[in-house]
Amino acid sequence: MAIDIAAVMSALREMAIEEGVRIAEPGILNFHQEVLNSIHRYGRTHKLEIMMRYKLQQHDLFSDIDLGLKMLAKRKLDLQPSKILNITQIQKLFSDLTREQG
Amino acid sequence: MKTPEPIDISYFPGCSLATTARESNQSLIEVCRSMGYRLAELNDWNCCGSSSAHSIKSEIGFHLSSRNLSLAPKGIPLLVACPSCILHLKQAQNRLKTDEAARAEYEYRWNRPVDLDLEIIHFFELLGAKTNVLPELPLNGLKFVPYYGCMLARPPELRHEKNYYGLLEKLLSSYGASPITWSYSSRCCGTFLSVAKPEVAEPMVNQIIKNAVDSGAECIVTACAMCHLNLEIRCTLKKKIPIFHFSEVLSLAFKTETKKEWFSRHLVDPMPLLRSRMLVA
Repeated sequence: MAIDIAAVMSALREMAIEEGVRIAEPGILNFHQEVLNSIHRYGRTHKLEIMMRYKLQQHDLFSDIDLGLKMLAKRKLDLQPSKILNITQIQKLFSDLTREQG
Repeated sequence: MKTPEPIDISYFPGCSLATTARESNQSLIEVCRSMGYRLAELNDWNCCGSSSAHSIKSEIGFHLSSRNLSLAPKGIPLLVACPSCILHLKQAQNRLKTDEAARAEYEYRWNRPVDLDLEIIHFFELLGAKTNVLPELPLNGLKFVPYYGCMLARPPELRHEKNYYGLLEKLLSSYGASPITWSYSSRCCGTFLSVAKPEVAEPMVNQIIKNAVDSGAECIVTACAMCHLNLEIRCTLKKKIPIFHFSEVLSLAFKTETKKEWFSRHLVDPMPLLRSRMLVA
């Protein structure tokens, strides 16, 4: 039988987060959290906002400014998020599952 | 002769193709149209959960993917081009097939029965056994290295699914491009670390591009929109080469009719190479 190593790692990661284990790279968790916040708000990811919120949290607003401007100029980052119509379904999903996990 | 009616397929673009990689989306739709497929974007689709939900809140990730499955019209395949999205959608479908409680929750949440027969197909499957049978070789000897990244590697639960490695080389060489064998075709590009930890992603990307340049390639052809972005934005080498989405090169191979304005969206300008190979006017 094959062992899905990535799945085992994911399960352990989630258990560690739930148990409040000290996180070696809190920035990574913050990044994932910002992606989830974006999905919660819009149903889709809004990359510009994710990047800006993450950089703000890391007190590192300037390291990728040049890149961000280049990407904006090439229309690779949208200023406005794309929001799904039935966002209440997504928000209910998040609130139900967050409540379950208490 | 009457043109045959196009075949309808529903289509899940995912967040990357809808935004950062719009050029991949445009060229893919164009290539599909030229092959006789009409893509209908899934109505009100949402993010599949991306690496983040599946890393820290896998239950939310599962339900996000399953909502997309619930939106798919019955009786026609669902096309996905992003290797990460298709992985998450197929894993969700797999779980629905075997987990009764998950099926019940799906029906409660999305208010419709689960369609376990829904066929989820990767863009590569549409291409299937397609190769060029004409004497013309429109890609004019374009020297490329194929880059699959790591998201097309199948986890154990999907081990019986199709394997696409080799398809880029086979198909593009039949249209006159020259694939170069190299050792980095399934190296990781750094995925989300490109934003979260650029100092980790940067050397990984540089190593990939350096190896492509050293192997004599003029460009890299990617199967994944996220890899494409990372290779473009995190390379700090002086010598860079253009990175193409697979569908962009196919649009040149199939000589589709649009103006291909999407090439202007690249951060590494591909136009000098395309002109030198006489692939654009």
